[in-house]
Amino acid sequence: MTFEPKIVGILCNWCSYTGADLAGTTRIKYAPNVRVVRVMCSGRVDPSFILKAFEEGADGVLVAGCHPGDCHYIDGNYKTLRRNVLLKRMLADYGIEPGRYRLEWVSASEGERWAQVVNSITEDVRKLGPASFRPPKHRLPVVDEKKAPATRTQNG
Amino acid sequence: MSAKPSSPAKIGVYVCHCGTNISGKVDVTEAARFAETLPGVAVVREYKFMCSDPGQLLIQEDIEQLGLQRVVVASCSPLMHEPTFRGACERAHLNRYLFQMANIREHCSWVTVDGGAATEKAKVLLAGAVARARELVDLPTDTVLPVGQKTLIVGAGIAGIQAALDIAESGREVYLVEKDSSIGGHMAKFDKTFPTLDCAACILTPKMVQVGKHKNIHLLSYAEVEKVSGFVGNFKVTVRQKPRFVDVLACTGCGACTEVCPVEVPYEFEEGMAKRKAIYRNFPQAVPSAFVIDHPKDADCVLACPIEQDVQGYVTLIAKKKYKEAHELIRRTNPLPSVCTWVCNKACEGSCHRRYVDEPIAIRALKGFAIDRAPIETLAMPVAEKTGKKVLVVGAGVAGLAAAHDLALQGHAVTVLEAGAEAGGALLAEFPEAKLPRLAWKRDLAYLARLGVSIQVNHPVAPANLDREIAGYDGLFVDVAETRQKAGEEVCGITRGQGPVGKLNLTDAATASKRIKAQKGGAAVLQKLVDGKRAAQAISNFLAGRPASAGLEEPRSPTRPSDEEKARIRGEWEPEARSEPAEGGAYTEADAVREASRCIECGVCCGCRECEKVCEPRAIHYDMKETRQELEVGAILLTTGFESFDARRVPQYGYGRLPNVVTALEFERMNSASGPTGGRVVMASGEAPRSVGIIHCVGSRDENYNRHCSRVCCMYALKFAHLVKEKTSAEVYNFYIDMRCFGKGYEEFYQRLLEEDVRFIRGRAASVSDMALSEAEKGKLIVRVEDTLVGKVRRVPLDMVVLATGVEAAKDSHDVAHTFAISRGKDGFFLEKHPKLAPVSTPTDGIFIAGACQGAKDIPDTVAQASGAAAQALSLMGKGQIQIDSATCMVHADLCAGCRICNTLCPMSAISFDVAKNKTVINDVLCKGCGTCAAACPSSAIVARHFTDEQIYAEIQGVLYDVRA
Repeated sequence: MTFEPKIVGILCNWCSYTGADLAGTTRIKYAPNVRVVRVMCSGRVDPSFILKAFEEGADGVLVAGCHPGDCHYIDGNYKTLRRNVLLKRMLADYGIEPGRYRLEWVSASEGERWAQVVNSITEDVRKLGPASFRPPKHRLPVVDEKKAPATRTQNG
Repeated sequence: MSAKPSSPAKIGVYVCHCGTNISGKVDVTEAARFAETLPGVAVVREYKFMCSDPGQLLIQEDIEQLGLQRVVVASCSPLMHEPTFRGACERAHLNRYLFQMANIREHCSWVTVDGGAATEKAKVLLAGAVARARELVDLPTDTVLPVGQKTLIVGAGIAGIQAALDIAESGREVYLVEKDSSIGGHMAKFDKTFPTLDCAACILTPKMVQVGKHKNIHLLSYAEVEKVSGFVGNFKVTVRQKPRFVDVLACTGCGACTEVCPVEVPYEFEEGMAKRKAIYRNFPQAVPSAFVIDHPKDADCVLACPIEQDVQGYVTLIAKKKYKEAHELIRRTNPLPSVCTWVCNKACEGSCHRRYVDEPIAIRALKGFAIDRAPIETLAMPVAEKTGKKVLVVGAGVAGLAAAHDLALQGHAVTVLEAGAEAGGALLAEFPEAKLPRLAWKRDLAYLARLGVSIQVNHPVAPANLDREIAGYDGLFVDVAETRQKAGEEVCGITRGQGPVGKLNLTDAATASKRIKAQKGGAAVLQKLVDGKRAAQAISNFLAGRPASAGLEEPRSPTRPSDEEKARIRGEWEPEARSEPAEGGAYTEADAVREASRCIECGVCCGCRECEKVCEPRAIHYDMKETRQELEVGAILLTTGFESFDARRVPQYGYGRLPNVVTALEFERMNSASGPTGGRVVMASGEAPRSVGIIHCVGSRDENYNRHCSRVCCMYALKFAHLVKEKTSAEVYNFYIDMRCFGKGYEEFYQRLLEEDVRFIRGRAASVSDMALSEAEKGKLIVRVEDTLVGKVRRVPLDMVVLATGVEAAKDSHDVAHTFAISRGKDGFFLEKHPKLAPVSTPTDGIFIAGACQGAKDIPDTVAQASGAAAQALSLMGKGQIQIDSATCMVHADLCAGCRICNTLCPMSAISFDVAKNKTVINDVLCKGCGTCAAACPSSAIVARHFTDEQIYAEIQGVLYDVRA
């Protein structure tokens, strides 16, 4: 069986998630490897999300936001771009190949582009093979007991 | 799966078939069975249509009967049905924020080829959604804010007009912002409308008048929206009002101003087929009916001049042989123009834009010509209201006389005391007769005398006597070096009554003298002129009780045109030789006029003030400045329209090169009775054409330009064909790809045209040329086209070709989208929330779109959409209040270390810093929940509610469940 990479996609709500929706509405077919997590803005993407994904065993991570200048929140994507520079160096230090992580701009009208981006990162990661950065077998649960009551109100 | 933490939450999972949309690809049952194995899941159900009423009831019953604490629906995109299912949860008293969606349709079943892979992906997405659901917490749902009852409508074409009237009629106020000087948009340019052939103006202008008169519509014409902040129901909008230079209320629209205006530029409203003046209005029925002066900027020649002489103005007046007016205009700003024509260093010519075509205008020589032609005695003197103040100027040097000139213009009585036997001081010593004829000097003195400046020669003022001399004067300007030094500082003293009450340092007033630091020569003369003029302004300010610096802004510099601008100038003007008077000689009138006519009118309005002289209601105000106003509105409607495709982009059709190839809008204007040809269809030669071809789909349905169909061209092409038949006896050919006549009455119109003997050739025209291959083709335009119904290539010789240019997104649509934080489609048109079910809404709540800014459409569709958008805005305002989303960011004060990293990140300015407590504070109402601050907070003190770190970590862990499986 060929290696099917597991890629986490973190998408901004306004452009990239909508663009991915458009790819669906227009029935463009693309690789099933990217698992989408929605955030409101690519500016929300804390570099720890990417690290978390690799820790959990992702073979690749794709972050997608609005094109520069088109951000729904004016300039959130520029902040992502800024963080991106340092993050890339950090990933290299962790021994994660550069091809496994990407920041892309996909607008709400670019369904086709979304499909291309997914296919392209899937191929890149497939060539790299499974990520060697594997999580330890036994690890602490992410959510500990005292922080997870059934319903908690955050209305500070 | 053992690694998953067990959670007390009881989760209900609902997997939707969406008919066969999902179940056709994804094995829904397998996915549902998989969901049962996920921790916390109490119940899993699959259903054909979860969004249907029974589907929603299913959820409600389970919440009530099983006590579900979280709900996950795996179906379509949350952008589609999240509100639906949140509603179902709320009806069963479950907090709306405890609902989570898994998008297994748009992101899975519709995009995946293999069914097995699709099922696996659905499982992954379900695992992620369930993991995230476990982490969800309830958030407040009772925060409500009032909705502002005013609406902002941007763009006053037919869509904006219709929407404004609809909303205004409901009794609510509307701000209608239009960037042009009149409302009406494209429709105002049309002659007839298809298919009914009723006159566009006849149906549009009554609505325009209604808008102008409606008490609830605030029309802001010649204005643009600069900034938008806030959110649905509570927008704050900054509108920039461009200076119109004409008082809209005072202008009676008589048009006397256009008759005297010397500047002629291409008439945009007439598609460049006619010329208009710099003061103009688009068309007689314009609303508002007031004229407007087109003056986007001061010309660079003006800005380059240290005293900002109205260069463009007098050059243009000379071109129109108005020498006396030119001379009067020169004297308004220049105290010693005659001297300047001999000594000035011609900074104006150095920045003249004509030099991008060939050579700069001979500005200095032209000024000399105007002064020669119109003697001082014949000039009309400016009328200044007497202030009753007396000012003493000591020293009749250049600065002293410049100050005296400007003070006299301001209405002060000025006396100049000169120690020597004649006025002039160092100037005459430095410039002998050959360099500055005394005749020129005397002319300037003569003008000062006519202004009422009294120069007393042989009247030295000893520094010690200064106090005695100034008795009886209100102000003093000292232009004698020794006296100044004696006074201990460089001063122009200002006194009132008996003793000095204020002193103004000359260097303060003149600090910003333009870039000239010369001690000698022409530049030094200009420096002194500037010093004198600024001192006069400072003294006038003092005497009038104004702030000392009023009117003494930093000097401006010429702009540097961009390369595109230079190329535009080069393309627009033909080179023409510069004519100059022979060395030592004078201009002949013909040479001077020819030279002045080379001016390319960079500032459009040249500032000659001729219109001001003839305007009886005194409506013209040259000093009008750009203003800004803040509006508070509840809803925003964008009706910014379209742009017509630029036919120059299709070079093979020869537009711009072949004289009888015209665009659709040009043809519209040609057909209009008020247009450039008075409604006659004529060729460039003025004759009526005997054959006319109409090429369809120019710039539409074409991979090279726009892929979309412009939806109006087929119909207006039929209209054109009909008009040509009606007005001339010409043969008409339509070159079409497909006839698209889909609207009400459209097909019937097509049938009618078929009966009117109009030729239809099916095929996209390949080219239009004037290359005749036979006698019959000589002097004609030849359209080459493949007749696809016959299956052969044809050459059709024609007199005139009309290009049915398509509808395109406006060039500034990107900027507009950015200002209002909405998206554009690939074609550049604004993106609606849903193409079918929310065509006038945008993803940004409270902002609606209508008309051709959303996509190409005809007038009936535009009007319908405008009314639809108006109804949406009204329904929003009618609600009165809106629920505020609680998915915003908040600061845990106990964790905030006061590092302030987040403080500069917020795009909404929702973050402030409490200095006393050393903590960051987020304003709940301003925050839109983007989470950028949360991502940056080093101590995790900021929580992006509903998108917390824990929730996102859990989802990431969830979608990777199969790594360890």
